[in-house]
This record gives sequence, structure tokens and C-alpha cells, in this order.
Amino acid sequence: MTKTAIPQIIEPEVTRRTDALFLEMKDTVYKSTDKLFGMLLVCEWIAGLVTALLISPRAWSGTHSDIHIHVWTAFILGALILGRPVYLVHRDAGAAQTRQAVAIGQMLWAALLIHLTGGRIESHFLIFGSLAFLSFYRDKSVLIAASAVVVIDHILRGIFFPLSIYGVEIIEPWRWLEHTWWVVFEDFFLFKLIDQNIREMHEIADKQVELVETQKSIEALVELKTRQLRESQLRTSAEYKVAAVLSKA
Amino acid sequence: MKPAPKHSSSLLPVILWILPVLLGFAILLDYHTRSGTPTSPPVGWPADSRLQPQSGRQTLLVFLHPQCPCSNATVSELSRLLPRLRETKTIALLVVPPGANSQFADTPLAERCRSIKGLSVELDRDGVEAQKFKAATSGETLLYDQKGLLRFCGGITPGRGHEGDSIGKDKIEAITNRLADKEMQADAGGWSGKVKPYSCKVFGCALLNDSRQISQNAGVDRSTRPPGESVPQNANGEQRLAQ
Repeated sequence: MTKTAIPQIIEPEVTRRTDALFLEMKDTVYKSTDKLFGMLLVCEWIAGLVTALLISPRAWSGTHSDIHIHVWTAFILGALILGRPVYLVHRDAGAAQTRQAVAIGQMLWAALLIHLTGGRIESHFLIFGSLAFLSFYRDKSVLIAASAVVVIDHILRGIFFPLSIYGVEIIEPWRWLEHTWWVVFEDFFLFKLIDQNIREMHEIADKQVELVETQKSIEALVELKTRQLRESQLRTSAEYKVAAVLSKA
Repeated sequence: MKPAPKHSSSLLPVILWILPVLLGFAILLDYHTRSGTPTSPPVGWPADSRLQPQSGRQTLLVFLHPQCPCSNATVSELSRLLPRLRETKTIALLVVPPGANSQFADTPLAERCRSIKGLSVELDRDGVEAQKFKAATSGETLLYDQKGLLRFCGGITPGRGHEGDSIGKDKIEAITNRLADKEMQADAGGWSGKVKPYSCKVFGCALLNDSRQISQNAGVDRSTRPPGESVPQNANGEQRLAQ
């Protein structure tokens, strides 16, 4: 009797709800990561400007001095690089183009830092740190866009000005491959991590929908039982009253 | 149904974003590879210089603008080069341009120079020595041999404000350690009387307000190869060294 009364979960409806929840979770991740990067990019711009002002504020010619090109670089080029992703984070958080702009902007910023430090190997660490940070998006296309910027930058500057990216004037023609290999190496494991995270998000969505449906079923069952109990009570009460009247009679 | 992606509408803003960024990078690269004003250092030690080379030793002169941020790279390279040089007196000249006050040379760069072991640091008030040695750009490095002849002129950094291996640094090390002497003597057709100084570009701020005056006189060619013409020895320089 009760079995038929409990609402049955329809499979396509569950799938639809699971997909919707999964997309909602992804959107939340995209938006929160956009916000994190929005703050990071602004901090990077300010840090770059302060560093330029402290280390190389002015260029000299005898007693005459002008604002150093590094200050203009940090101010204007930094704003150009980071302006679009920051704008998109505020205007269109969660959108695919925002994530792509953040990835490209972050890697261009790393390229600028590497150039300004004369290709110091330590500044290349920003690339690997940024890739790890970008994996917070749980979107492989973001890592692909970021890695593409790194590879193109290494190839082009390796050809035209190797000093600014490798720190030496003369390099082997395949040097960019070595750097690319390490980027691919990191990407490989980050892709694995993203796959795992996506799988876990699917499982969580599945379980959450299942939980909601189970809760709904239980609530329906409780309601049914309550109704049946109330009916039974009413019936018992009526029967009691009838019995009492009959006994008096 | 999902809407079709708007590729054409999203590509234009990306192009409009990337192009100015690339232009900015190009300007920056140009700045870091643009060398200072070419000059013509004297091939022999200037007779009227107050600097005294040490007899029997080579002398390395490095002219620095005390406020020039790019010259930090030169000082870093100098600190790496110095321990590798043999029988060489090294002097860093902090050039104070005419019109600058006495605090002009009180800078972290000057402090860094003073902290380098084996480096003599001297003030060049009004840029007198810089003009005598025709040094126009901060980072200008001149190597004079035991006989007071110029053997190298140029910079020891590969770019403006960039540290790293450079032709200039390698050449100075080779020459001072007598590795290049045979090669240079052969090029010049023998040691006595003729020397071909090596030269390369210098990257840094201008030492004086008008460096064009310094660069007017002809002398050493600023190519990365030694100049073809031979240069006579400077008798005054030898006399000074003999003192």
C-alpha cells in the first residue's frame, strides 16, 4: 500500500538535476577563482609598480633625470596586460572568455617579469606557480591557453632576444623545447588533478541529488504516514464515540 | 539548446588587447638593447690623468654614474669578474657630473662598489677623468695593459640593466689572463708598437649632461671585432707607467 504512495524518482529527471547541480558547482568555482585572480592581478600590478619605483625610479643623463622606462612599463604595460582580465572579472565573472583572459594575462605578466629580471631562472618559477594557481579553475582549456602563451614567448624571444628570457645571449636552437617540456610535465599532472576534481564534483552532484530525492521521498512517506495516522485516529475516535453512545443506550 | 559561440565577436577584443602589449614589449626590448653613445677612448694612458696605473700591472677602469640603476648589473658582473683577473688593478670611478652636489655619489651603487674586495673606488668630480678617457656611458670599462696601451673598451653586461655572460667580460678575462695576447699580437703583426684593442657596446645611462662632446674625436671603432687599422703606442703613457 505504502510503496505505491511514495513518489518514484524518474531517471531522466535525476540526470537533469544532477547536470544542473554540476554546472552550478562549476560556475561557483569559476566565479570564486575569477575573484581570487582579480585580486591577485591587481596586487601584481601594484607590486610591479612599487618595485620599479624602488629599484629603478629614474634614468639619468649627467645631472638630468627622467622617469625610468621600467616605471612606465610597470604602469602602462602592466595596466595593458592586466587591465582586460581585471575588467572581465568584474564585468563577466564565470565566463569562459574571462578565464582565458586571466590565463593569458597572468602568463604575459610572467613574461614581463622574466624580461625585467634579465631572464633569471628564479623568475621562471612564476610560470609554474601560475599554472598551479590556474588549475583552481578546473578547466583544462585555461591551462592550454596559458601554456601556449609560455611556449610562443619562449620561441619568439629565443629567436629575437634570448638574453631576456634565458639570461644568456647564445642558446641552443632547441632550448625552448626544454622549457616547454617542463610546462607539459606540470600540465600533465594538473590535467590528472582536474580530471579527478571533475569526477569528484560529479559524484558530489550525484549524491546531493540522491540525498535531496531521498529526503523528498522520506518527507512524502512521513506525510502519508501522518495522514494515515490522523485518519486512523479520527476513525478510532469516531468508533469510540459510537461505542460509547451504544453502551449508554 | 545552447547558443552558438561568438568567435568573431570575442576575437577582436583579444587582438586589440594583445597588439598594444606586443608593442610595449618591443619598446622595452629596444630599450634594453640600445647601447650608449659610441666614443673613442685614448689608445694610450692620458698624460694629464690624475690616475696612476700600477707599474707592471694591467689597469681596469670602470666608469659609473652613481645614480644609474642599470649600472647595478655592471657592478654585479664586475664582482664576478674580479676574482678571475690576474695582475690587474681595478678602479671604479664614480662620475659626478658638473653641477652636481657632493651627495650625488652617496648611493647604494657606490656602497656596493666599496664592498667589493679588490676594487678601488674613486670619485671623479666634474667628470674630469671621464672626459680624459672619453667615457660617455655608465658601465664603460677600459683595460690598459702593463705598457699603458688600451686593450679593451666597452661594457661588461649583455644588455641595459641585464646581468649575464657577455663578450666584453669574456674578452677582459681572456686578455688579462694573457690568453688572448698571442692572438692579438699575431693580429697586429707583432707586439711592439702596434695593438688592436677589442671593443664592444656599453649599456647604461649617460655619464655627463652632453656626451656628444666626448664622442667627437675619432679613435677606436665600436664594432665587436677589432678595428683594422693599427694604432701607435702612446709614449706619454709609457713614461707615466715607468714612474
